[in-house]
Amino acid sequence: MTIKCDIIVVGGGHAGCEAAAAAARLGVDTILLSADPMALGRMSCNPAIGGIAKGHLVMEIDALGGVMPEITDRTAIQYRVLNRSKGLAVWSPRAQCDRELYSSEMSRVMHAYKNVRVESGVANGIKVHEDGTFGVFLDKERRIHSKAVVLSCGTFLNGLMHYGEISTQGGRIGEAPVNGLTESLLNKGFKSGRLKTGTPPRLDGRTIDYTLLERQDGDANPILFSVNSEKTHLPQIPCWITYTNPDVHKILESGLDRSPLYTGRIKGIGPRYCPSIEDKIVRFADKERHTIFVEPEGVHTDLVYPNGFSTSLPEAIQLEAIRKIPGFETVEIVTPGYAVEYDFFPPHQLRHSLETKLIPGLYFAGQINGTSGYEEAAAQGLVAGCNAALAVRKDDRTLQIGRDEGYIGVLIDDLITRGTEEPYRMFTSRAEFRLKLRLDNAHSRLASKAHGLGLIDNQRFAYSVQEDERLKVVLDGLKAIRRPAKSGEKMTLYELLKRPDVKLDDLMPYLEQSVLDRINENRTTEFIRKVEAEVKYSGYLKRQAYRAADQQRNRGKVVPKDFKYYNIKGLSAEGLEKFSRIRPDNIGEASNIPGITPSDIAVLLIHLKRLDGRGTKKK
Amino acid sequence: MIPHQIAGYSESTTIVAEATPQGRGGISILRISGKDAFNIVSNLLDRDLPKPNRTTYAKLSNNNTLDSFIDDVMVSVYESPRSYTGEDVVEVSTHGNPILVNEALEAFYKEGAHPAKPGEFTLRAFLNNRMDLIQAEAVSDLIASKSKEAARQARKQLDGGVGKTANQISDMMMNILSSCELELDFTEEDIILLNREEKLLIVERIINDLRRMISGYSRARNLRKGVSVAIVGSPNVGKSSLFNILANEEIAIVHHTPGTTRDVLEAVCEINGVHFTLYDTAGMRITPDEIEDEGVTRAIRKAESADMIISVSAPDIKDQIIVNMTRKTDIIEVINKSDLATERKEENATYICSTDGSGIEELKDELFRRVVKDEKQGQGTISRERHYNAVQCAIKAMKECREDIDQGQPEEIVAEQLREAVSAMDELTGKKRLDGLLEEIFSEFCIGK
Repeated sequence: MTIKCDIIVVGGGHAGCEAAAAAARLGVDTILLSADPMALGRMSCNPAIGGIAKGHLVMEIDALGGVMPEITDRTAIQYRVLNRSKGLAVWSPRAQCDRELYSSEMSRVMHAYKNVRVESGVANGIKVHEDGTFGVFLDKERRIHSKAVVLSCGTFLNGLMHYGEISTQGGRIGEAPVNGLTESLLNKGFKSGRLKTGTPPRLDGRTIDYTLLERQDGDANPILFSVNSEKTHLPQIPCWITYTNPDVHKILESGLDRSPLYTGRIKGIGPRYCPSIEDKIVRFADKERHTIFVEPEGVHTDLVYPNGFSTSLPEAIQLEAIRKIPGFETVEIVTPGYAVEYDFFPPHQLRHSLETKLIPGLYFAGQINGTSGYEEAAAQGLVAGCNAALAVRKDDRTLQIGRDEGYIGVLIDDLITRGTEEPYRMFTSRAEFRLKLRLDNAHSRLASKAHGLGLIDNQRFAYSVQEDERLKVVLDGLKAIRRPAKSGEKMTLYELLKRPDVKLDDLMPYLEQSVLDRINENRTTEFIRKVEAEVKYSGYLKRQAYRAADQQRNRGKVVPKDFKYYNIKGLSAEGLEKFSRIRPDNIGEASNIPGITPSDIAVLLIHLKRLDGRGTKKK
Repeated sequence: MIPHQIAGYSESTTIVAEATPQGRGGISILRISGKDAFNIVSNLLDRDLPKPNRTTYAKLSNNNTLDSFIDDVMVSVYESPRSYTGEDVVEVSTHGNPILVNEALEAFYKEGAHPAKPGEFTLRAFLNNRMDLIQAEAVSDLIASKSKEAARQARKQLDGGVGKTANQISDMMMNILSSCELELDFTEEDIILLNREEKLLIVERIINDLRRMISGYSRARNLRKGVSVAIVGSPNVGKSSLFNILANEEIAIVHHTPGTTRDVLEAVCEINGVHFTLYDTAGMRITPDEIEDEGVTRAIRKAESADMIISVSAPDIKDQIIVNMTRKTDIIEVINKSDLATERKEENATYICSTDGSGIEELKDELFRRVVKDEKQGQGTISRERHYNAVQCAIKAMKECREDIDQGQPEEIVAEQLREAVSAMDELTGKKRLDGLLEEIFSEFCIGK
């Protein structure tokens, strides 16, 4: 039986759901394929969305009309803004979610999404037809015929799970791996690699003594992720903190000889920023304790997630060690921690649209590209889905976000021009335009792009435009009025507000009533924060804007797909090797490649220009 | 893994460089190209720019200092696209004195021009269709070879103390930056970070070390481009005689009437391959003669701005004005008319006799020794314009950083300044330190929930 559609999205995780939803918003007939259609958008690891720099990604996904932000707001059980003591640019909202509810809510939304059909099944091969269309094989009987394919298979490609000395095939606990797809791609000329990630055991909350733990409450006035959200929907509950100690470490050490990490069973590379507990005690042996965040998995469950205790040691060792932690003396493990190895495809094989360079119409998103994290996956899914839809519609535009426009842009550009050797996670320090890429302006950064492509509707766009205008009125109002500063010198309110100790509240008495009215229009606290950030960072924003303008100019210069680098005289050996391997699409990408010198770029520019010259001559 | 700036040629900047070969010549031409070229130059002139394709005489001065006059110059203007680079271009011809050229370049930098990279004018010309296709290969070769040469020179410099010092300073910057980034990106980790006082202490050290790096710069640079030497002293000690002997030319009028020399005279001499620009000045004394008094003022000013001073005295002359020159480490005490000296008690002084020429060779040796000695001392100091600019840029960022920490600005702002400073130091170390920032953090700190 052959099912037909325009786009098939393979995998119903965070990347897959956003990909299908984005393609569908553009009006393209989309199939979302999942092994378990009632459990889409599952959180395989910690039950939380957002966090440092990831919170920014979620805000940007909201600005692009994605599904993750609203579902997070509907299923959150605790909100906390990390970095609240620092400037607004690095405020990072994080929400603890009800794990089961999140997945069932995502499934409900996707099943109801216009233009999306959710199909049950596992893909084990892809065929590219001569006319450029695709056949995706599910099993002997079924195949899906489509014009474009988005692969978002998470950790399932040849997934191998490790518990101590036991290894079993699978992409997530209790779920079978996907075999055959990697091989099918290798046959088409792709290169693959192997990564590893891990997760802690899940605990029975009824067996924890909370009196021995530190309580950590959420924010009283949470920052929600979606502009569509007005309030929290679930009861807000606390998290808890405890610590490991030398007794715990001693027991963990006794199990190292059976650790798949140290016996060489695990070949894949794991994330250094998220090491397993056994890795931490080996690499940082002098540290006497490590923090464990004790996070509830939901409102209606006793399951608890001990964040910071990721491990792949034998289950018996896990239990013995964790019971030495205060509060966990009699704890029961419901499911043990484990490590999972999976195939990924080094992302230099992609374009910025997330289309593969080898096969037009084939897109990759999420862990298949070497990233980790739900938010990173969702962001890529959205971009891949949108671009696949544009391609299917024969629209020659693409959704591309610049490094100065969003963390999503930084994420994709890093992947493609710099590659990754370990699972890639977003950090604010990766964004050179960090002061500009804030959560308060995500919509104004991306709304017109999103609206132009059809990712958000008119109403959402109008709201964003109105907010921009409101900000401008207030900034102009601040510039229009002068007051004496402490020094006696007269300054505009705008200049005064730049000082670290001055708040907008202090200047309210001097502002025109019409300006005050705009400030108090709606969501006033949020708006005041935005005005303050805009003014206080303004000097630095200007500096960054110059840098951004340079990048923008360079980005425009396109390198032809079949450009022959070995013909170029004057390139350094390293430049020649890297350009030939990575094959940058444009000068912006080329100059971001590590090891590339200004003279390589100059030489490349000259030869591109020569090419242009020839082209015009012929005409 | 953190990209900080695009590698390559940024066309939105305005660039400046000496277009004539460096060194001595009748005139030097400075070329300024880019969208701000007209503004930058006209800000420093005493009159408006001429119309395109015309040339005008003007006075070039430095906006920011009191003693601001730099040189009389000829200014030519070429409007985009009808110029060498195809951009707005101004060419400023100065006198061919390397010191003036440097002053002028620095004035342009202050106004926002960037030093041109190797071959950058030619590259722009090419990109703006000011050259035909046949020339492309040549341009490409030129840039590659110029860059190779620049890299070779940079490596040579790095072999010395500069690279080591620059690396140590970068290390300190990265140390504070890591701490800031940890506070921002790993906020819930149980890691001990630098406190405000510790950060300030390191910043202070960085600023001091950076300053030390450029302190020897002017001298080191002048070894290539010439060292200015002012000859000062009371009237009638024989300054002009000495000047003429050193210049090997009868430039100054020598007469026993005190106050014969009034304006500052200039001459060039070469000692063991090092160029010296000599300035003969009016004798220092209190005088009712207005013209002579102006001469004294100019003499003092010249003494203050010169790299080195020859302070001449004579046994038969009593000093009237003692010029306070504590700033100068390089004063060569010369006692003229050694034939009149009853005993030679000034141990550090050079005794000469300008009438019979005795002691002159010793004085020349002393001049050379001072320059070369400083060059050897300054192993951790820099001698290239671009490196000097990079260190200046780092100092500026670090000063702002100090102020930001002091005012209690949040870490993301402090980090911004540090990133600017580290990028500037990359120019000297040849590394991209920010790219390895997360690597450094991961390897040094226990991160991860």
